[in-house]
Amino acid sequence: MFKDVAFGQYYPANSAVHKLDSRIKLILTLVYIIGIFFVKSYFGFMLTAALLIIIIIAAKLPMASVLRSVRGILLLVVLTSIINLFMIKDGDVLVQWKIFVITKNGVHTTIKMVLRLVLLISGASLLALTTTPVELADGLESLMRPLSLIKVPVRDIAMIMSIALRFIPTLFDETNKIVSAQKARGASLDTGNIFARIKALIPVLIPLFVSSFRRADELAFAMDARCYNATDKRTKMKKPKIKFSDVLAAFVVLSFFTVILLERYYFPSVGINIDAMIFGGLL
Amino acid sequence: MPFIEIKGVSYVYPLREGVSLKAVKNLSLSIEAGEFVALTGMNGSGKSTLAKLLNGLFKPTEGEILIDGVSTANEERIFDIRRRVGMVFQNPDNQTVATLIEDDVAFGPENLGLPRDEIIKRVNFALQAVGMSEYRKRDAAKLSGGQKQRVAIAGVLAMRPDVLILDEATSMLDPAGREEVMGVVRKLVEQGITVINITHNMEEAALAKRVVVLRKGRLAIDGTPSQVFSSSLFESCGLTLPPAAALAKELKDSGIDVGTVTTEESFAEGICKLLR
Repeated sequence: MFKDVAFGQYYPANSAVHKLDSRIKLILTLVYIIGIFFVKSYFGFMLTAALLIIIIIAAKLPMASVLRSVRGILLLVVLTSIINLFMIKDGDVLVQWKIFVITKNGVHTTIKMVLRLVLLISGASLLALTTTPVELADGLESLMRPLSLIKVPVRDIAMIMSIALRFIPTLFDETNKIVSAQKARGASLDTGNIFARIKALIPVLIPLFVSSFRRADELAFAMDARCYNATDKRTKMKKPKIKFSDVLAAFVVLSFFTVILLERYYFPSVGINIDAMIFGGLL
Repeated sequence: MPFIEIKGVSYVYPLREGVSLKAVKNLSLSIEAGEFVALTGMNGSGKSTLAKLLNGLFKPTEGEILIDGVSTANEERIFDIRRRVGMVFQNPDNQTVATLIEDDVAFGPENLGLPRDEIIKRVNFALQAVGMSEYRKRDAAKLSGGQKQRVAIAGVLAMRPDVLILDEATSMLDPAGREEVMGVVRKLVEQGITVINITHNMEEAALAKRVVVLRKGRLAIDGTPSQVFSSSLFESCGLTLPPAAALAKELKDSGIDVGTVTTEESFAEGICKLLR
C-alpha cells in the first residue's frame, strides 16, 4: 500500500533541473532564500517570481505541485498578515474603526510579507521536488565534508541519513503488517475519540520498535561482515561532476542575487520608479 | 593445509549476569578450498553461531578458527578475513544498506577503500555474475525476495571472497526465489568459490557435495549427502529426509531398491535403471 508512495515531495521528471548537481542545488537554494530577504520593491518581487517561473518551466513541473507546498503554510500566511495589517500604525491611515487601524504602510508591508513567504516556500519546495532524498543526503554529506576537520563524524552522519532513507519503505510495510495483525486480533484503530485512537496506537508502536531494534542489530552484523570501518579512507563509487548546466544555473541565480543587491543598495530609485510606473496612484 | 580449520571451538553467549548459553561445544572441522558444504541441524543447534564465528563476527570462547592459516581472533587481520569470508544473511531487507542496487553492491568495495575504477569494475562483474545487471539502477525495495538475495550475493562477490557463507539465505524465499539463488550458488561453486550453505531444507542440503549436521552445538554427522541421509543418527538430529530420499526409503522397505537417492535427479536415475 505504501510501497509506491513517493517519499517526500519528489516529482520525477526528466529535466535539466532534475539533473543538476545536488550540491549546487542546495547552495543555490540557500542563495535564493537569502536573496529574497533583500528584496524591497515590487519590482524585486516580480524579478524573483520571474526567476521562479523560469525554473518551474525548465524543471517541467506542474504549477499545482509547487502551489501544493504553499498551501501548507496558508494558515501561517493568513495569521501573520492579520497581525501585520493591524499592528503597523505609522503612515497614512486608510481605515479606522475603534481601535483597529489600517495604514497604507501596513498594507504594503503585509503584501510584501505574503509575497516573500510564498516565494520563499515555492523556491525551497523546488529543491525537494526536483531532488531525490538520496541525492539530497549525498549533497549534504559532500557539503559538510570540511566539518570533518573539526572532528565532526561526517561519514557516519551521512551513513545514518542514507540508511534512514533506505528503511522508510521497509518500516512502512512493517507498520501495515502490524496494523493488519492487530486488526485481525480485534483491535479497532480508527474508532473512538482522539485519546482512544492514540491509545490504540500503542499495540502498533511497541512491536514496531521491537522489530526495528532487531533489524538494526541484523543490519549491524551485515555491515560488519562487509567490512564497514575497515579503513578511514572509505572511497565512493560515484563521484559527482560539475557539468556546464550546473555552472549555467549558478550564473543565473547569482546574477539574480547581484541584481537584487544592486537594486537595494545602489539603485533604490530604479525599484521605486518602476513600482510607481506600474502601480501609479495605488502606491 | 585446509582452507578453513576449526580447532576445538566453543562459543558462549553471555545472556545476562550469571546466565550464559553455550551454543557451540568443542567443535572441530576442516573445509578445503573449493568445497561445497551444507551445514544443517535443528533450531538452536549452533549453525548460525558457527557462521558468525567463521568470519570473526564472533570470537571463539575456546579453541581457534584459522582461515588460510590466519586466526579469526587476530584483530589486525580481521577485515582481511571478513573480505575473504563473505556472508549472506537470512532477511534480505536487513542487509541492504543503500537504496539503489548498484550502490548497495558498491558498499563492500567502498569500505575497502578501493579506487573508483576498480569499484566500478567489481560492481559490473558482481552484478553480471548473479544476473542482475539490468536492474542496477532500480530501487532495492521493489525487488522480489530472490532478486534481493542475489543482490546480497553480488555485494559479497564484489569483495572478491574465497568463501561464501549463506546463513539460511533462502529460508524466507518462495520456491522460485530459492531456485534462483541456488542456481547462482551452483554457478559460483563451479567457478571454484568455497560455499558453505546453512540450511534447514534437506533438498537444498542434498545439492552440496558434503553435509555437516550439528546437534546441540556438537558435530553429529559429516559426510556425503547419501551417507548423511542413511546415517542412523539422522533422525535423532531432528531432521527429515528430502521427499525424493524419503520415497526411495519407503520403496526400499517394500522391496524395491532404487539405489542411493539424495535428489530428484538421482531418484529418476535409479528408477530408470530398474526399468531397464
